[in-house]
Amino acid sequence: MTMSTALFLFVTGLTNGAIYALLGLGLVLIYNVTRVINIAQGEFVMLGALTAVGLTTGEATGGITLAILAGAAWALLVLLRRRRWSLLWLPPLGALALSWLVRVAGPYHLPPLLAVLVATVAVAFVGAALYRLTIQPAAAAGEVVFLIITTGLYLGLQGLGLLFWGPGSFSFPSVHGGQIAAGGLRVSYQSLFVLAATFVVLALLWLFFERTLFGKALRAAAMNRLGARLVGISPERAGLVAFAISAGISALAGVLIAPVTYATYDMGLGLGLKGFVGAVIGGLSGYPGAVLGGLAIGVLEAFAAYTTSAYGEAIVYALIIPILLLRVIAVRRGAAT
Amino acid sequence: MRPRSAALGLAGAALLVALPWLLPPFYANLLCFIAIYGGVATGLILLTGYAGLVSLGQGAFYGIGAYGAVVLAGSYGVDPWLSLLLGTLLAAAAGYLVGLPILRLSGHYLALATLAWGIIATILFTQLASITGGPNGFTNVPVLRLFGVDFIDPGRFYYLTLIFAVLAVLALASLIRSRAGRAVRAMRSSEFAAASVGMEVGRLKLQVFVLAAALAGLGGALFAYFIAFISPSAFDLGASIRLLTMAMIGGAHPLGGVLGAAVVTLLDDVLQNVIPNGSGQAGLVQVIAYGAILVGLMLASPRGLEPLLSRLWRVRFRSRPAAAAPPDAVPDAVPDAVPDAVPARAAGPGAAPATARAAARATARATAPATVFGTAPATVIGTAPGTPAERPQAPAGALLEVRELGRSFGGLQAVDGLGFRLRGGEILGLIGPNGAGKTTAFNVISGLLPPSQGRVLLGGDDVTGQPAQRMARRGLTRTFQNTALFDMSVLENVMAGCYVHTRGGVWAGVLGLGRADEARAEREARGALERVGLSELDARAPALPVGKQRLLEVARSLAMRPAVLLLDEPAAGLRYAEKRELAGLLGALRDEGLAILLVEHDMDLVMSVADRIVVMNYGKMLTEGAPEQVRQDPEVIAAYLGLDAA
Repeated sequence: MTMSTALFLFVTGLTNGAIYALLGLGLVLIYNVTRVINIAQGEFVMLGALTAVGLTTGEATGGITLAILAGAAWALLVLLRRRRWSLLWLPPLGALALSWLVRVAGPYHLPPLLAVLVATVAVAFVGAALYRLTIQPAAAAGEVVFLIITTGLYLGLQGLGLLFWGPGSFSFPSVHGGQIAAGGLRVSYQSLFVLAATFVVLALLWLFFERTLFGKALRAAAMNRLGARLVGISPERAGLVAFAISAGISALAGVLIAPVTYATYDMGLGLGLKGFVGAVIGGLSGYPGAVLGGLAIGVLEAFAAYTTSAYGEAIVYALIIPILLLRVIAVRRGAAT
Repeated sequence: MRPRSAALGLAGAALLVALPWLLPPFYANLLCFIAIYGGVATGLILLTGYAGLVSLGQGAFYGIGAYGAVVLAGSYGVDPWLSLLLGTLLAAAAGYLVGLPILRLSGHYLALATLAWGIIATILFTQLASITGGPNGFTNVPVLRLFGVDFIDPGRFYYLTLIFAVLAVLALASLIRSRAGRAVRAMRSSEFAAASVGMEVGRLKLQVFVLAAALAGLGGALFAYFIAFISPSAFDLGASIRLLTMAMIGGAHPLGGVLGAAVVTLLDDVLQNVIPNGSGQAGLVQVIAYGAILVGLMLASPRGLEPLLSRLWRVRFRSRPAAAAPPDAVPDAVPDAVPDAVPARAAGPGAAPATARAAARATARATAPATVFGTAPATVIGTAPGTPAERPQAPAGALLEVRELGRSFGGLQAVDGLGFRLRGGEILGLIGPNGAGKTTAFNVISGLLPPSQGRVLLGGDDVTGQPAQRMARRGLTRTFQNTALFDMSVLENVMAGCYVHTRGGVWAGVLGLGRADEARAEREARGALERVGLSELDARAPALPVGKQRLLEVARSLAMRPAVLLLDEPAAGLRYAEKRELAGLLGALRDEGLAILLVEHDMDLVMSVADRIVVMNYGKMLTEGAPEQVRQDPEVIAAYLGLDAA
């Protein structure tokens, strides 16, 4: 392996790793606040990428439809809870009308930046709605039930992705085409942009959690649900916000990665798992750790794929087991001293 | 009732055998799939439903069984029937190798590790193309043939799969009612409590994991012979999730796997028929439907169909009417069967002045030198409960000795330099204000936490840092401040306490062996329950009021026939009359030679039953002495009431 190959692999790895890092951030955020390990995290990436594609190229805009449907289901749930039987017709009808409007107004050829914004907000809303509809009602059931629920979400969302967009692969325009060359190494602007975005998100999260009251309330809810409730913080609302932010970050990651690797309906699970491996390397509760872990996984994967092409993926997945074991040992040791 | 259930069983068996003739030929296919998936899902129900270990990688073992069997038969000329066995063994071996490391994980970490394993296996199935045929699949599958009869036609192949499913269901039904099955269910409720009655939690998990892998392997092998073509996509993550869906739909019931498999398989079929343009769309709706079913099921009924099944079909353990032998004959039946590591405190629960045989043995032991552990805490055995004055001399050496014991958490020294000796036939009270470190001391002594410094000696042997199940096997057990009962009936909880002195592992449970041990455990459990005064034998333990839960924990501990008993606030939540009964029971147990360490906040109780008292404050030992002496100690008063009061 020559030096330039190694450098190339390194940069490629960092770019992919930045996506894993963003996913890791989303996973850690959800895990910290709700103790849910979200198998469906990668599906937010897929929804974000494909919706943004749809909004710029005139393809399907499934994420918007999904947001409308999820919103209608949410409204139905609220009405049922409040026993407002006379209003039950409103959400389905509203959803129908809205979907029709969205359809009639299309096909869309929005400018990329606007498309990204709309897609991110839509997916964030879907994330919040899914929390309200599937996670919050099971709050008492415990972590394994959560895991199975999010596995179900993964299946359902991936299926919907296939339904909306079909099995094809889609690309998204780069933020800025072209690349910079430095000493024989070419780095695309997109790669740099992806990396920069990761650190911007990290910084924003830090600001949110350290500098805003609401962020601190979220941290409090994560540490002690009962205690948070006693001082007037609703763990449910905290969970809702965590899911929304996390889904939004993941959707953004999807839009960022789409120009580099193509976006497909089944891109989610692999990304999500690698994000998870990265987050666990980083300790599963720290945000900077998740970013470093994600970057490390990306680089490792790039080199593994180059040297043992067929088993590159397997090596990354195989890492999950020793990393989890080390983590358990570390936690036990921590408790012992 | 008996003849009727036998008749029902026969009718059911006849129906299962006749099914291929009763249904249109097309359904034979579906029946085969239901039986194969049903058998595999039955293993997963043992793993997930009973043991609480979620596997998202069961498809991998299923695939190893499938590839193992048909590759051996197709490429290496192994006899197809033998290859079924070899495929199963391969899957079991893989289960052992994978389970060994990952079963140290628990909860969702374990699930994620199995998920990773499943993905790795799929990659291997695809990449090892020279063996498996790669993504194009493996087609060279021979035919299963017996005495010139080919098993190709689904109507015929069905019987093979039926045998598999029925055996799997029977194995699970037999296992969960056995000693090992009880342990599996117990460790799901509380690993700490399971360990403290001597269950080898780690080994049980591995055995259950291997058993589930073996069932998946055999199912996979049958599947491969049935469809005569296999490719990696049949064993990928989707397959694992499908199997898990079946298990979750079924819930923790022996019939749950088959039922879950039937629901999912028939649902597939319906979906395929409902959506006309076959190819892509049907599979698509199927996937979305799975997702929706999983989520909906978890929200509507996390226990699956089990509550329904249990109401229809009572396979849960119900106590039979009391066995022929009266409870007070029990102790005499047991000591010979005690495994050698367990100090036989011959006076089992329910022990009264023993029968002639036991008395004779006791006399013989009483004259022998008091070699405390290894044989028995001798001198105290078999002596009639008398007044304290008549009580025989306790053995010279202490049963439990704690030296300079310390335990810190980070910077906090929770226990610091605790030391005492506890003899047989003695109650030692351990008291101190809240946060004094009493429960931590208990956790360290009983092996749930390793100590930071100091020694624990049991019967003179250094047992410092040994795990709880080892302590239990050496005759030390405990109760918990926040009761840690198993989610099963009251009687079963106490039978679980008999774990260390009964025999029969997972395999014995599967084969239904060890009935005699079971009967003995049940008799002994009844005795222990009678002793603490609990009569709600069939009630679910967690549904009892707190006071009764505490008594049940004491009964469970007694069923272990311990030599040293650690009681963590046994009187909390008890009413006045119950407390007096408890005090009477503790006194009687002491008189039988038991060494009791008692943490309790009810000072009247402690002062009235304890022979000596150790006082702790801020992790340190304040003083030790007789109750009257401690009561007047100014330092103790200061610790309890604040410095000013002293």
